[in-house]
Amino acid sequence: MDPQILLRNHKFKPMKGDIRCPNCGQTIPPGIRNCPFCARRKQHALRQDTILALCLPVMAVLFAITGFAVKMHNAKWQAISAQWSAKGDKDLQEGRPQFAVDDFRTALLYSEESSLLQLQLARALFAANRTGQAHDYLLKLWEDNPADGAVNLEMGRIALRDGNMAQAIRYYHSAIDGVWPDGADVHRRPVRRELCQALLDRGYRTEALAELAALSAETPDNANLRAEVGLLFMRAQDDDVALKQFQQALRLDRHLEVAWKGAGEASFHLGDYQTARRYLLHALYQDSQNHQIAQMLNVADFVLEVDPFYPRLSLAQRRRRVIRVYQQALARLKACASSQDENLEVSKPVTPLQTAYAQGLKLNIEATERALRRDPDLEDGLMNQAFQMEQAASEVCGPAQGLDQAILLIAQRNGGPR
Amino acid sequence: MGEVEPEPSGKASTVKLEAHEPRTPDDPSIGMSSNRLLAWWRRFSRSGRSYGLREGNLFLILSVIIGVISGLLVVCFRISIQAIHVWLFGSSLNPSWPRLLLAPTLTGLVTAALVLRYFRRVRGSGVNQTKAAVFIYDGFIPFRTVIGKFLVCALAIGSGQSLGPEDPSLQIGAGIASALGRRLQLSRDKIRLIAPVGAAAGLAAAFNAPISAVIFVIEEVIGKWSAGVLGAIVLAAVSSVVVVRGFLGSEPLFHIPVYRLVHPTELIAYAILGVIGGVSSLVLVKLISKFRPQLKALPEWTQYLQPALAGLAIGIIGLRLPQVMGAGYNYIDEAMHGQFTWQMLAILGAVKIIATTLSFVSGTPGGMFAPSLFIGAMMGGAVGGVEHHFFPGLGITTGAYALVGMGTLFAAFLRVPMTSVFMVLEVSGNYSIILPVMVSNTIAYLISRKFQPTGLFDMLSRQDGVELPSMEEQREESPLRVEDAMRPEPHPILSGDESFAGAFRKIQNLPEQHFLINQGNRGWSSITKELLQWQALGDNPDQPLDTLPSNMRLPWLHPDQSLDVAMRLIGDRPLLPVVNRAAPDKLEGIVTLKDILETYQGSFQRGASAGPDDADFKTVPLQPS
Repeated sequence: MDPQILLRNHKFKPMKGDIRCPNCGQTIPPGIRNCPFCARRKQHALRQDTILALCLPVMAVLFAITGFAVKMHNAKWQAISAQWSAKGDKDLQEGRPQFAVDDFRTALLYSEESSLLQLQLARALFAANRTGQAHDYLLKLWEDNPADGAVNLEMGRIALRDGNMAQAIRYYHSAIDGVWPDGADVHRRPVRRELCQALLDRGYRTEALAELAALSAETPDNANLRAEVGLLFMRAQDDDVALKQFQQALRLDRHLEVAWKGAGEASFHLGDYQTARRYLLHALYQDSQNHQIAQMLNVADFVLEVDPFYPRLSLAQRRRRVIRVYQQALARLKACASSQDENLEVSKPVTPLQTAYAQGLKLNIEATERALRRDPDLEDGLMNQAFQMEQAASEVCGPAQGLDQAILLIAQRNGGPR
Repeated sequence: MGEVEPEPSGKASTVKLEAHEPRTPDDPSIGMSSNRLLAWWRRFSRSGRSYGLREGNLFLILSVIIGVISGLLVVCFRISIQAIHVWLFGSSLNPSWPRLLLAPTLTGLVTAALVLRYFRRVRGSGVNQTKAAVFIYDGFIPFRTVIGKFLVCALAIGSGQSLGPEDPSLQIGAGIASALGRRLQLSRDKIRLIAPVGAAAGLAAAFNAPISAVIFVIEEVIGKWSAGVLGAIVLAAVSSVVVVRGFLGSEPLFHIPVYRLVHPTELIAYAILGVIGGVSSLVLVKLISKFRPQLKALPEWTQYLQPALAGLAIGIIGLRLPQVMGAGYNYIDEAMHGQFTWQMLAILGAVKIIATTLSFVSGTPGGMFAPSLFIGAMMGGAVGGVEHHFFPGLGITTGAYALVGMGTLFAAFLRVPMTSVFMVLEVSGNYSIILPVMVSNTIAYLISRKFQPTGLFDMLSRQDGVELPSMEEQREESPLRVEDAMRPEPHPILSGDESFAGAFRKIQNLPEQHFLINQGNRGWSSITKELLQWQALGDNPDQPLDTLPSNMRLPWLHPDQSLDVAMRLIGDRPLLPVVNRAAPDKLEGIVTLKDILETYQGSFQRGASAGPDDADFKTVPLQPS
């Protein structure tokens, strides 16, 4: 009898002579050698084992198909992403940040995890003046990787635009010390230089000087870079250090015009007109069309020519210089008054020009060599009066030029009019 | 073979011989590990032939296989959707208008034809279909449905219909599980349980969030925590997520911004978000519940056109707001990172409600998870944006509101409060967001329950004429307990050390016929008056009651146990003792079969008299077909 049929109708009563299966304990019907219940279980188990075993090759095939599909998909997606990213770069370079934003957004859609694309999108948003959105994107990148130099730099720029200087400095410092894909050394200097410029632009001189000191230390032996640092120091009004930077640059490259000019300018600001003249002459030699250098050189020449306080002058020379300065100042005052239609000969001075002129009259000093020889103390009085007249003329008629500027510089160097 | 060339040394010859000799399992030259492996295989195959793997173990192995296969299919499903989208609309974020209008319309015609001609069972989201498989069809989901769901949903979602891939993934997983279970000829119970296992795998793979998937399946599909199935569900979910992460990367579905609660008063804003989320979900449910039956009632030929018309309408919307097309995950991500103004977010949320209603009521198959997340994120972002606009000093990030909004609408719309909380925690990986999530979700959920007593899935199944058990209603039901049927402890209670004669003297004048015997550590027994009399007047009246045979012992109950347990235990026993949990020898009362039946009857009468408004609490028992 077929055990399957038997099993299907297995409501038989155990009879005398029936034997029990040693495995399952069920009664084996007469005429059957093997237990039909166990046979059925075995068959079922075999079927299950076979199907389970077949699952492995099925899964392997599915893995292969899925892997192939994913690979194809990723390749296609990357190509699309690269295409849109290139378009975004182009739009950004050509000054179309709005289009660049859309391009980078699309590129990001196909390469969701690309932090570079997210950074590019943030840059495009920043360029399109959508600072808030740029900040949100960057914040996400920053959360993912707080040490990322590029992200910190962009965050710093946004903080700068928002006027949050403390935060900006913090982000810039993180960018300087951060991780850059192509090496931190390449980026450290430019980022610090950008920070210095930002600080100087916003009048944070003290902070800028601290950063400049670090920048100077980081700057390699490169004349251009040294001169660049010198210019920044000069912007920070640390002409002494600036001069040293330019001198270093000149030691590295004798033909660097910007260094000659910078050194001349720094020396000029330091009041060392002799040195300034030397540097400026070199600069002018290299760039003869530079009016600024020429003008500065001219002023330096005037200072050297008329400065009565210049050391190693004879008394006669000194007196002549004092008289020249005074006469020049008086002439400028009068010219200025004339241009302003002001009458200087008034009983009650009102305007600065009239006041300065009246004070000169009150001194009742004769600006002659004989008078000065008689009383050497008059030199100070005349010089002081000359300074006051120049200052008044500058206030009313605009900045002084040439000799007048030289007189004012002499005044500045000697503590100004008393 | 076996021929040995003469070698100058015997040693070399021996080596060569050994190399040609077949190695048997008993060969000591085989390493220990090989021996063990062979021995294991013999044992395994022998046991397999004799008894097969125990079904429980097989179930666990199967759950891993289901998880892996579901994960692979979901990976293919996701990339199919993306590929179809690019094929139809091009790679631009802003496709041209002919594509926007034609692609969803024509694809709508194709999907309608596929659904109506070949895959009728793929209609709907997939959650109810899986529940129906569990509760009606003994876990049976035809494999054809899996193919249809994959194909049609990929087309529909890829063509911009405002639907998501999660619910279809859930059904694909369930279908795979069902097919495997049938092939393996598992028992009916196991086949019924295997569909939810696959569902969890599919959902976990689609969401890349195994915990949420497990909780959703338990909260919405199975409706109960069962240790037997929990392990399998977890294994399947984890396997599928591992596979998906292996292929698509381990990045979460959304990139969540850092969240911190700026000030406790911010919770008020989250409460407002809860109200808005609750109302939004109500609008969406009401729209679906109103228009779905109306469109289904139209002549069948119109059903060929409905998805196309819905597609056209969505295409027209897409001309101005392409963000509402498709699942919209990338836009959710953008909303979380403050890429939209609050006005835009509010508009997107409102328009998505319309687009989703159009897509779903037209009969296009697809999921409701993604749209609900989209609407929630937009609404949440809008609330955050408004707050940021009026209180800029608070330093609020709209991303956190978008995230909470997602959970809020999820809780209110799908009526899965637990899943929504865990989902937000899982996708954000930020525990500190739990307070706002709980506040917002609870308010939204309560509003939704108050004004829409029947949840979305239950409503849809009832509209389809299927009475699936409502998990939400089941959770609300207060089960009858032993204490409801219990009567006070009777007098007297006999002690096990009393003699038959003494005990009989104590009770001989009492009218009761059954008496409890407290046997101390040995538990409780009962004895009839008649038997006690017979023993007392017999040969050994001084023997203690403890000498009664052990089959007279009674199982005991506790007051908090379900009355169903009492019903199962009482059998033909006259009564059961109800004892204190802390002191099993301390009697709290007794229950009799009559008490139990009367309590059930009373409960039924109270339910019937509650009126038609509350009649929803009844669940029609489902007979497996």
